[in-house]
Amino acid sequence: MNDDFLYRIRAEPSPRFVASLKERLNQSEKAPKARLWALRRSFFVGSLITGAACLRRA
Amino acid sequence: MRIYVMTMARATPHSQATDTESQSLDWNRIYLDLAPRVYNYFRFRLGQEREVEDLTARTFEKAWTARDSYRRDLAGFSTWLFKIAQNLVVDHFRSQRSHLSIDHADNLTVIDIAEEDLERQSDLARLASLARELPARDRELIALKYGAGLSNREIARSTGLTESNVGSILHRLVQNLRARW
Repeated sequence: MNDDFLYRIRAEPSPRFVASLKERLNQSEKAPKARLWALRRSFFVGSLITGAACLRRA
Repeated sequence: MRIYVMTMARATPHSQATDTESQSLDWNRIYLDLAPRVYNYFRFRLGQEREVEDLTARTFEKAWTARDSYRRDLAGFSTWLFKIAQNLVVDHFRSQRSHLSIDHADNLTVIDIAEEDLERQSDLARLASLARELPARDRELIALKYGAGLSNREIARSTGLTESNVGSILHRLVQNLRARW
C-alpha cells in the first residue's frame, strides 16, 4: 500500500512548544507536593499549639 | 501484568510489580515519543495548525492530572492518552460548530506558516479538503493511523473495530485518497 503521501504530511511540533509543555507538566507535579507540605506544616503547628494549651490548663 | 506508577522525572514499577528498576518506564521518553504523535493526530483531525498546540497541551494536562488512575504498560498508556485526545476533538468540533462555518475555517489555515512548511501545509489542506467528503469514522481512522502513528491493533482497541476491519477500511481509504490526490 503506497501511503507515503500521507506520512509526508506529518510535522514535528516546535521544540519551544514541547519544552514549555514539559515544563508546565513538571510544575503541576510540584504544586500538589508543595500544597501537601503546607498542609502538614499547618497540622504540626496546630498540634503544638493545642498541646501547649492543654499543658497550661493541666 | 506489569504495573507502573509514572512520574514526570521517571516512572517506577508499582510495589506489586516484579520488574526491576532498570526495566521501569521513563516518563520523559514517553512524553518525547507521544507528544509529536498527539500533535499530529490533531493536525490530521483538524486539517489545520490553529489550536493544535492548545489541544495537545490539554490532552497531556488531562492525562497528567489523572495519571494516578492509570497503571498499565506503555501500549495501554498510548491508547488511554489518545482516548483523551479523541474526546477533546469531539468537544472541539461541538463548540466550533456554533461559531465557525467550514469555509471560514479554511481561511484560517494559512496564518503563521514558515516558508519551509508551506508544502506540508498545502498537503495538509489538500487532505482536509478530500477528507471532508469522508464519514467521521474514516477521518478518525486516517488521523489515528497517519497522524498518531498507531498500529492497526491499537486503532482497533481504540475504536471497537476488529483489527482486520481496520486494515481493510484503511486500505480502501488510502486507495481512494491517492486516486484523488
